[in-house]
Amino acid sequence: MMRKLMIIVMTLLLALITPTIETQAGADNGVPYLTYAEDAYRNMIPTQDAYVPVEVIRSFSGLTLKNPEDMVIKDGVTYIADTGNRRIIISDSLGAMAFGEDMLLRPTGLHIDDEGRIHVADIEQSSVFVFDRMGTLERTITRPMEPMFGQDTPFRPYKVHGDSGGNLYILSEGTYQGLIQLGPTDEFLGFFGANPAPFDLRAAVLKRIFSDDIVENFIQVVPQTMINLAVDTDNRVYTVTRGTTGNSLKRLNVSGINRLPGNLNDSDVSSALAVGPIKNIYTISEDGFIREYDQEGNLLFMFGGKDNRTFQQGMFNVPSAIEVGPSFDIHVLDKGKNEIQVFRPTAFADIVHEAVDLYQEGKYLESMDPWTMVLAFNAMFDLANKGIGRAHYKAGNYDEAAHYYSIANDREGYSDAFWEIRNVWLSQNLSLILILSLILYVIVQVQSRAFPGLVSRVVITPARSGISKTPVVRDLAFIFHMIRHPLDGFYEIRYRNRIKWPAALILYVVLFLEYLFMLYYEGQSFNGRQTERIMIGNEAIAFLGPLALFVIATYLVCAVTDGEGRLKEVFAATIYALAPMILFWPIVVVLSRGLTLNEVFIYDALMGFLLIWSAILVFFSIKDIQHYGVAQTVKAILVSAFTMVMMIVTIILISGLAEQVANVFYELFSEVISRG
Amino acid sequence: VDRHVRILVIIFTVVFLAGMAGVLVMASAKGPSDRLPWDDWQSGTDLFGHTGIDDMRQVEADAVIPEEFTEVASVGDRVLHMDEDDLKFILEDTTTGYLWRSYAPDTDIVELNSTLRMQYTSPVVIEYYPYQSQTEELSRTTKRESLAYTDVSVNPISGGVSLSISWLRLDISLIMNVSLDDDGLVVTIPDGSVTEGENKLASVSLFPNFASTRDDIVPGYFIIPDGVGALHRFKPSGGMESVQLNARFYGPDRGIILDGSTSLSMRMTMPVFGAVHGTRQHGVLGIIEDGDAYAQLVMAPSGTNGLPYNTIHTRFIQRETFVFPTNLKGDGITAIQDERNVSDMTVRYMLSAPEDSDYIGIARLYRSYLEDRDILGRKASDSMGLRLELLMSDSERGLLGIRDVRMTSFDEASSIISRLTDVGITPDVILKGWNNDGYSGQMPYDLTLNRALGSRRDQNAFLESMRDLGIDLRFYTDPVTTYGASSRISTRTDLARGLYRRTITDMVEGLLYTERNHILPSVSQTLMEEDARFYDDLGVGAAVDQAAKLLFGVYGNDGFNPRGDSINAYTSGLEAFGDSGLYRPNAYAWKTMDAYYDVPIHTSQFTFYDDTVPFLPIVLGGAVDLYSPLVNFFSDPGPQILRLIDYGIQPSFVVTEEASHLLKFTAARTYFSTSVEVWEPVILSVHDWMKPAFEAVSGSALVSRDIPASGIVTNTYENGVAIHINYTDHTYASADGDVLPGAYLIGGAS
Repeated sequence: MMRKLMIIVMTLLLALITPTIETQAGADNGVPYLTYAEDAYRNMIPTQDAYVPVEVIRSFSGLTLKNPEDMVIKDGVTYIADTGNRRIIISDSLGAMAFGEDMLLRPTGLHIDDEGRIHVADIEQSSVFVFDRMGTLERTITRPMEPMFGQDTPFRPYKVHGDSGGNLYILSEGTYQGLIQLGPTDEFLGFFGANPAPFDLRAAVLKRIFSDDIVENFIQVVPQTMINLAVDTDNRVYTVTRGTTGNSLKRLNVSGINRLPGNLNDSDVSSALAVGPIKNIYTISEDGFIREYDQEGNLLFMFGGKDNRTFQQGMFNVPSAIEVGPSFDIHVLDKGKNEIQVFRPTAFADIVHEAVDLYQEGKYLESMDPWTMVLAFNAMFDLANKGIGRAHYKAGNYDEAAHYYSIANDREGYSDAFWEIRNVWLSQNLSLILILSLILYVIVQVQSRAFPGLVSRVVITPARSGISKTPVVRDLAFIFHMIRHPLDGFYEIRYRNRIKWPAALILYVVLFLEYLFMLYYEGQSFNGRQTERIMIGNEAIAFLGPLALFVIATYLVCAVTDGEGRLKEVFAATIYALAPMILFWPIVVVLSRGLTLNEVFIYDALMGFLLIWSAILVFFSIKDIQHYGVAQTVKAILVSAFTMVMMIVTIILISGLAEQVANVFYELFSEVISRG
Repeated sequence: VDRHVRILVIIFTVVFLAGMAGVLVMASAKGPSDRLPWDDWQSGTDLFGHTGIDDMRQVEADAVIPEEFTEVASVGDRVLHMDEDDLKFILEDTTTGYLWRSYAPDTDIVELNSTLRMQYTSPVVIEYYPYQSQTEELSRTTKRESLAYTDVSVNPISGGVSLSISWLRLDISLIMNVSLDDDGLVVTIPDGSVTEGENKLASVSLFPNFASTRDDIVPGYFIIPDGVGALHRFKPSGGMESVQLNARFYGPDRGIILDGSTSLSMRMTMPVFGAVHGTRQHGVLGIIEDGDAYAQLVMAPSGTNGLPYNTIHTRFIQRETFVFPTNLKGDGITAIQDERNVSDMTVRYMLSAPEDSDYIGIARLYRSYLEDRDILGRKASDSMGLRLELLMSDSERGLLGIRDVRMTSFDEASSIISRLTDVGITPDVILKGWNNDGYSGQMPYDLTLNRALGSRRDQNAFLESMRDLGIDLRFYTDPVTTYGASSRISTRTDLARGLYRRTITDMVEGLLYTERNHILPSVSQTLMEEDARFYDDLGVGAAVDQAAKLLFGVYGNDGFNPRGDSINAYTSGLEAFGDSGLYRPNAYAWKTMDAYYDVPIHTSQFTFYDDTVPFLPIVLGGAVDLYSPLVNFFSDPGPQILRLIDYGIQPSFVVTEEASHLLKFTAARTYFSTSVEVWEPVILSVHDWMKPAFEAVSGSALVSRDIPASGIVTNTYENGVAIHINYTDHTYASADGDVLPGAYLIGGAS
């Protein structure tokens, strides 16, 4: 069930991020794809093309490729694991050579260390061969002998990488403990950066009963294995994993912990990755999309696509490796098309890179100019808004910082800027506020001492008499009574037939309007919503639906368990029990606009207070309306909660079934049309 | 207690006021002014899809006509010879003595089996869906047949011969006429002559081997009208396996293809192709005169089928397979179109004079062909202009219903335009989103100006001021696609359905609309006629999108009407506008075009292409105003604008008064950079930079386009002016002086 739910959620997410066709705004940069970036909410937005294909390389001084699996470009030399031809090709501007035909069986991984030694992972021979720069074998790394490695651990090196300290990281097929880390003398240092094992309810339950070994014997909980890895010049290790989204790309720190956020705009079929000159991360996926991320995991660009033998430059058939040169030129090895495609960045991409570089180095003020340029190219590029916000903040232009942060939906940034703005505002206006409060206080005091009862004579009494004339208004005003005397209120609702339908309905509507108010006007330090995406229907279902379910469920449950309340009374009592929310929620929302994230506890405490207050009243509403004891009320609430869950499940089931039935009829119908 | 309540109320009031004040402070916070993008946009290099250096070798042709050939006809300098036994043809150019053969050369040297030999010599090749008697169905897999097991009778007709061909085993027959007239060789299959039995025709390829060459024995290239124009140069296959290019003229047919997201390729808008055998030696232009809506260009480079031949020809599609969806998701069964696409199939081959035998000369040959038929006349404006699109408004989803997003009011529009005319720029102005609900709202647009953009008086003042300034003002319209919200159409009766019995629908990304439908061509015609009356009343012109670009067949009560039948509805609708500006129009709509928007400046990047050449601009330049795609969305502005100078295309911009990020939740979200604050200085500098080049060659045609070095182009014009263009990152020393990187230089006898 859980897994199915996950799959459904995943599919929905995928549907969200899979680009559908865009009406092109008449752009023509000569590429067969559209380029996307992401906005602050990680939604895809169209953008200027960032890379254009410039070259296709099919032959290296006459050597052609066959299902090549890996490629490294180092110091202007291209190394290719020409897997299908069982050889390694080395090519530079002067020519090309190949070696290893007599030794390699299935070279799938390549690593060139700083001395120019060529490490070749040969999965078929379960070995990593180390050649010198001329292609002479220096040594062979085989399965580690250390006991720590484990007797049953498979050693099938698929990819290999190394850091500047001479450590090697070997990605071995079927070794789910992580990357195999070897020291400079090929000694086994340990496993590194394993993916966490997926949670399995069955195993977890059984492990409570039996020992871990027994359970693991018949329930295999295996983490997803990585498909490729890279190491940057700071010796940080990056991995990509298939079959998962949001966290398929990882940047591991020394202790193997992922430092990238878990909600990336990524692919679940990534094939390879590379780290660019400013530590930006490039991935390529089997469906042919290249993605470029900054160091924080923000998607800068996504482009490319599947070439189903249409032979268009810029599309891929089965990409197997990606490399990025010092001037951001991307090389992609395609084992389906047996070629390397070369892309170069456009003027737009150059500016983005300049801005990202300065930003990542903390030179916020200097990054302002390029970010502004990026924004001029694409006004929807939210990362630029964030960068400009940061620069303004650094420069002390807090108003502008808040403006840009708010466009970029950077709540922390906004909160910081707002804190400064409020600080300035308070320091300028504190005296004024104090004086105004004092004057108000004096007026109130004077009024209550000198003219006692004036307010009640002039305002309250006439208002009361006015109220008492219209029953609906009288019912509505009852809410103030509820706040002060809730138990009395429930009694009146139950035994005096105090509240009619219309008033209760109006209050439900009022509460919903207050909810909408909160959605739109909650302080920006707390409010991360895209108000443009709010749909009134959805919100009504999300907010009023549970309330309606609750009313119906409690009524039904209580009706069969000796409750005395009628539907109208439950309906009315529930909304009147929410009186604290109705009266004070908008005030708290307005208050939130003056708060920053530093004072989030105030906001949380106030909301918590309102909710608990309302919850207590709801409890008493059931108890008093149904004329229950405490124990009976608790039981009724629990059963109602269960009923609500069952009702939701039923609704989902029925709607799913209805769709199936509709589909069956549709298929029947189209079959008849197509045949006849 | 009351006092405490009062104090609480006071505190809340104070807090509330403070909150409101905070909100006001926020609201008044203003962003800094945006700065001019790409201060150094004139620099930058472009080594991407440019024109290469020609192979100037002389063709060593065998000019002897084999003795089995007999002369069939001769008109002027052209003589048609035929080998009646093998049905081979030779078109002789008596001025040069060059022989254009209908069959592949050296079939004796290249070892071919009999099937392939037949295929590479036959003047016609058919594909058919074989009837399977066991299942009493047609097989979905086509089979190919050349002239094996045929019964052929040859009859003389005026200027040539008529071949009556019957495939006896297949029960398929047709008549193919090969004849000469004043303009060249015409190969045609009259539709009425085609008969079928149980096996059904899938396609007919005419003269599949005409002008074919082997490896690189003949230096030269094929011209493919993809995007702006592409060349495939003849190369030895080098043992590598190649695939052939199959590209449909006028783009894919959405009436047959269910999934619209298949390809973003540029379309082939001209029904032509060309072959050059030896640069400035021998050239031929192929024009598809009939059946172009169903024609496919097939270009096979050497290495295809493991054979060394370069071939180019036209395949006329008779029936296509399509996916008939049987569930809501869109999975379905493969079915075959019932009725054949009814149309004559005609290809005309025109030979070019030796000095015109390159892509420039062949483009001009096509141009003169169009001029002879009154499709093109010389009427483009002589001065340099630019296209300025003003995005007035669009709509986004509100909490309840649709909310207008106002981008530019009529007042602001006049002020933007008058600022440009003040500095001597007279733009061609197009208003987008002038109607209720804006650019995407209610397509087809309801015929009232959006009141949010100004009062009736503001509108009139705007129209008045445009007339005073002498601005060519056009309103944007799209009579073909719809989001289904318009009161002008009924989603029940007016939407087009494809052969797959569903509405032709594109999924679009957006909050307001998620799908876009296609309107029946006949309804589009009516909409255009209504639009035309409305525009006439306002005194403005039309900028028509989609009507000349999209072509699709529709499924109606009377069965499937293939897309050739739709052309007439579109062209009649366009005629209602008189002359109009068209967005990337197909050639059949050129007659009523006086401005061409979004002239492609690239190709579809197929790996077969070696060069990008300005074929389309040479065909149309000087006859219609050519405007580039929107410069706003260029990702390499420097080299791309240089390319506009090279190709003689005027620039285009879109601007709005308000900041573009407001469009984020509208269907115009692809307009991500439009703010006039950013773009006005760019428009001025681009205009100033391009203007000298345009003025130097104003009104004179391109004579030659030389590539003295990789990345360098020298264009020479009728008036003797030469423009040197440097796409590289190093200075180039031309005869007229140094050309800086990423810049151009005007030279020659000016």
